[in-house]
Amino acid sequence: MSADSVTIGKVKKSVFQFSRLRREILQYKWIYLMLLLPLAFFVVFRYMPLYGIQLAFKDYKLAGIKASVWNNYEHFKYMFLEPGFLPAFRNTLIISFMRILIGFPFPIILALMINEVRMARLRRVFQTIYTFPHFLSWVLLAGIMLNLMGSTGMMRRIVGLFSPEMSDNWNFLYDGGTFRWLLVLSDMWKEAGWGTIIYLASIAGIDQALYESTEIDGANRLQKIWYITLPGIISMIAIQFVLRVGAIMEGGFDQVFNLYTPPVYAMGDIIDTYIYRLSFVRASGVNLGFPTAVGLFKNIINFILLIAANGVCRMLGQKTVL
Amino acid sequence: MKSGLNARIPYALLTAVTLVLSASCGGGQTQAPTDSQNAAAVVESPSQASEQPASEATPPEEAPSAAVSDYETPLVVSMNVMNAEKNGRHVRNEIIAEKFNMTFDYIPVNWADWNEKIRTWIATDDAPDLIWWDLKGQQAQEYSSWAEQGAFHPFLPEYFANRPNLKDVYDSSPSINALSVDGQLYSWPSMRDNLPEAQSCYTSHWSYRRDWAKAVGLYKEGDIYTWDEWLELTRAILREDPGKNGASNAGLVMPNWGFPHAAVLFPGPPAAEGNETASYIKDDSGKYIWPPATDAYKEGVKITYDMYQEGLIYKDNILFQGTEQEDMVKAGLAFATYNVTGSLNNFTDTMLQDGVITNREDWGIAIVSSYDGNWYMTQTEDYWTVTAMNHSLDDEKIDRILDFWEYLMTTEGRRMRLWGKEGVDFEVTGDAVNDIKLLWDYDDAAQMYIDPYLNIAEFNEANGAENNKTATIIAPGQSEYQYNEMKRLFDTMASGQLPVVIKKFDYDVSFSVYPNKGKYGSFGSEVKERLIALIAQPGIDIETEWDKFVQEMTPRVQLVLDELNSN
Repeated sequence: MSADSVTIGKVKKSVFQFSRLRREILQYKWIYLMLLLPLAFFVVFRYMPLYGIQLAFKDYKLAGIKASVWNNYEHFKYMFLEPGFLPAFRNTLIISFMRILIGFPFPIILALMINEVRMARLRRVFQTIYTFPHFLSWVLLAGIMLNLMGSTGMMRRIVGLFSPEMSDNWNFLYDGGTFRWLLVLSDMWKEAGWGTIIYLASIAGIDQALYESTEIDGANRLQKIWYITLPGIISMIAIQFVLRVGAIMEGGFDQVFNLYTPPVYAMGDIIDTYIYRLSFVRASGVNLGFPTAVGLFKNIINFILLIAANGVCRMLGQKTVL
Repeated sequence: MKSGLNARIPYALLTAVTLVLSASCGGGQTQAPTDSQNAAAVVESPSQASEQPASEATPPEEAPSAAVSDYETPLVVSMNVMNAEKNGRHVRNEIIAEKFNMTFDYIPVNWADWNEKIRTWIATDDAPDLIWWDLKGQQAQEYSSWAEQGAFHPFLPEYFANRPNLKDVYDSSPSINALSVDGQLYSWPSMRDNLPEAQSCYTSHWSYRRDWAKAVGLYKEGDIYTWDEWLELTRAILREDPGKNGASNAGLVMPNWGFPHAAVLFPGPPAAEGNETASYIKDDSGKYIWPPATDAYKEGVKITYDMYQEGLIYKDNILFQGTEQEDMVKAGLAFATYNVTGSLNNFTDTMLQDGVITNREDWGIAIVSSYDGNWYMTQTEDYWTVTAMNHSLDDEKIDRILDFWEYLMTTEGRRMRLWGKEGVDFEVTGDAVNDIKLLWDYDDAAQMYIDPYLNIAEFNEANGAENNKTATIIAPGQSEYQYNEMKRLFDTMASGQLPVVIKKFDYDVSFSVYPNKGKYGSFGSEVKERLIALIAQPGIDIETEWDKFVQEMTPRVQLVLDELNSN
């Protein structure tokens, strides 16, 4: 086959594909029209701001991005020279891994447990109870935790009944050793119920005939979970896992910001909170280029991890997001 | 019917898309208030304002430069304030609309987000017309840089030619020079309304439960305590719990800005510029040094550590993020708080109304000497905050705003600031500002007038409404108590009764602009963070830990010191 005929073949194919796409668009015009709204959202709020990424390599001037001058990677150099950056980077990774190791399986287990509740009404009650904390802000929750676990809070008084020594040395909310656990456990408490929704929806999609046939085979409830339910939602678990790994550099700014104090910075300061303090709390002020550089750095790492996790899942034969 | 509905779907979708796009893309370059600002702010419509008759005239000797009838065009001035909603409800808005054909679009800020918002607004060219800023010398680099880049409109000398009250500030305030960049003034200082004998010292001191001190038998007549007496008194309060608070009983509490330095370092011998946590000062040889690296500072750190570990400083103060310290005092849970004496009435009013105290005198100012026997006062800038004008303001708006500012310092304007509207809030009985009869409701139990507009002081200050001649007065409706307490404090200072040491404020170093100083500032936040982190750890050798911290900081601190000492 000559090169010309290949080219002609490609052109013909693309013309054919284009006309088929046009036909499809015309046929499903209302559905495509509905797509415009989210598309507009993504263009305006996700793609147009990408123009600003160049600020990571510039010294920002009030005259605008164009007028700002290139600075020879100064923000990146400054980032790694700042003594607090690497500890914050390490904390972000540790806290995120803890969230994945401990926090990620929890909604799955919870969903399986809720699914096993036979009374539909009771199931809904449980679901509502577990989902409710998701709607509370971290500002509010931090206040509640201060009142419960502060030095004049209820927890200390209860603990004091059993262990006066522990009560005397009470510093639960500003002890570096417990802070990461506090973050992971409080996040689990807040978000686990919300996380179950997607798994419960997947479970609802499993063919009931499978359960009936295993019942005939004499499977107990645990075996049904193991052999039917879990395999039925494994793809969803894989997708959720990939997405979670892809956001590993997001340490949970809202939560950390509202709960942390200087005594726990060494263990709990994440990149986002560190950059916030560097940019907005220090009297020396902010150059918008610096947070942009850090944001770019974070997103590159997230992107690499997303691709890697996606690859691993694909190798294991699971559905993936990419 | 169904097909008609289907036919309308595309139009509805298209309209929605258009709205989303136009809302997202529109207005990016204008200085008009943003949607988010409008959503949070309380706005009065200009048309509403223009319907008001512009009938009142000011006395000729104090009249603004333009006559009321000159204000033909209605103007909306956006401005950041605290308590935007309360400001929006104030009767002052009616008066301003009547007299100046001007309405304010109030954009809320609070202590926690104030600087953050200013920085974001300036960086995105989205600042309000009047930018009210808690600008301190440490931010001079940032301020100068913004001024040089054209973020602000300058206050030109000719603006003050026909405005005597503003000119008085312009001619007499030392900070005017400090706030000028390349000879141009870019922000207007709101003068502290301190008594002259205060010598621009911070008016923040310990305020305490006098009734509790009496209850534990350790009250000192005249409220003058030595350091040891103060600590012993706090211990007694924690031990004997005169407020019957049980486990919630707290000793010393501090606002976020003062924690934990207010316990020892601010009112003690460690050298520091003003009330700042670090900054730079000159030593005996005239060279700049970094105070946290001195032995005196380390000693102060150790004493703070011991006080915290002993529980004299309330342990959960570490967790405070807002007004918790104030709330605890007002709820009768804390013995003493370090705070500005200007807010004394605010405390006593609330505590009286809530029955937490039975007499106003139960809450008063303590004069506490430091552990070396001296009584330390820290000097500061002669202003509290500044207000800058957005670069995009036109002459008409600037003229109108400055006329308004000038008016605020006239007798009529001061009455409006203090009480509200004549005929509604007060009746005039004489020529002096104070010659009025207040028409507010009177609370017999609390023995005070009820201010229907709540705290509005910041708005006045943000509008340059103080000069040295309109300083603190006891106004009808205000409790004299606060004034008398402050006067007692500064009279003691002036009397020589105690060995007073003033930590002087150095405009030169504070407002100096150098590359490394701009990059690192005074390391104040690092000092504060580390100090808090260390005091919370029981059983450590605090002096060794502090030495380690200083060593860790030295390479960067030295860069700034070299810069300061070579200039």
